[in-house]
Amino acid sequence: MSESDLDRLYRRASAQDSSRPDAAARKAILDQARQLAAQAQEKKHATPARASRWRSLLQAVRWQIAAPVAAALLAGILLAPQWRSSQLTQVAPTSANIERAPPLAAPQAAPAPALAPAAAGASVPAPARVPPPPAAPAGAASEEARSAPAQRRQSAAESSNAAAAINARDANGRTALMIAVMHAQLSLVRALLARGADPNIADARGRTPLAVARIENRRELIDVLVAAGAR
Amino acid sequence: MEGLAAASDEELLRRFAAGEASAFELLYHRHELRVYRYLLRNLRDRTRAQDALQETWFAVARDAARYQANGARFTTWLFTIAHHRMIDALRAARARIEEVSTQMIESHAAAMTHGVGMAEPDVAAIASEQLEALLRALAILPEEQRQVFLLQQEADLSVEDIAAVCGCSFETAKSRLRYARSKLRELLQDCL
Repeated sequence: MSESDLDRLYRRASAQDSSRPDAAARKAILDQARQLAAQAQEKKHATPARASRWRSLLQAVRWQIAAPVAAALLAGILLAPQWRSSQLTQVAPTSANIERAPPLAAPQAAPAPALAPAAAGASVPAPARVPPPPAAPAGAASEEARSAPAQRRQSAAESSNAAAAINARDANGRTALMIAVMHAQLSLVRALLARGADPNIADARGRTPLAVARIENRRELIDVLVAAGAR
Repeated sequence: MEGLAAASDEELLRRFAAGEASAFELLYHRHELRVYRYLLRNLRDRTRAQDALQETWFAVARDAARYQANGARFTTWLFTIAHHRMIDALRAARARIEEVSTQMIESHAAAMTHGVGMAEPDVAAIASEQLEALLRALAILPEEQRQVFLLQQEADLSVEDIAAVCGCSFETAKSRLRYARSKLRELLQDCL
């Protein structure tokens, strides 16, 4: 018998072999496989759902953080001109505002150089941020006195511009005050109102800051807005 | 299912691991008989062979996701699992296996040919006789020689793959196979 004869005999004899596993054994194997396949399917579908849940949560948190930051930035941009104008008035104070100015607690209370005859003798130290002005030449006081009304006009114009800027609106018609109210930034709301923000400007949907505060049931915001004349 | 028919074994297993139950069914039907015959002819006990078959395919289904087609064919992997289950079953029933009688082989052969449609009674008788002789010859072979011979015939494995399945060297597998084939040719001389 050759090698190939043996292989042929084996195949021929095996072909006559009708023995099969029981149907029950086959069913048990295939049932288990179906169960595992279903589990694999579930896992496959569950993973993206979980991932998307995390994504949406992250997105929500991101907006929670980004919106107040944006509101603060907007407020900063709007308040900057007003702050600058106040700085300018401090650089060249008049006798009137020197009297009104609160005494700043400068540790190095060096006596301020004589600015004007009206200011002579006033022991108000210069603010730390403001460099001391050079000694005024003789006759400068009268010149300054002459330019005081012009400075007041300029200051009024700047204040008017700042008021317009502080009430500027975004694409949705929201003012900085409205955005601050929406994000319950009480200190920012106070600062904006103190700087002249109009509490009665409604957004594109017709909601005023007070209406938003009422919807959100922010008691402190409502009080602050009502005190500022919000209707 | 039609699209799956042309897929390789490895592809079917990958698709099953991804949750396609029909891929496993096709894979099972492709290899069911070969694995079963390998187990039955080694264990010579229908119940134990069926138990080992179930355990083999349970393991395939369970570990499908971990199967890596790192050069190893699916058949080699499948028969490695089947071989280990068969060895476990053999160890568990060694005492009984050693008492296998000629009568059991004859009844086994009769059961195997039962129900096979044959036109001529003489042809059926010859086939039954050949199968009986083959089973008897296989039973006479030493265990390790029988295993390598059946792996070659049923799983169509190369000597290298047989060595991998049995966990022996290439030379050992080759030597066992040569002895097995030589002994079978001698025993089955009169069957042709």
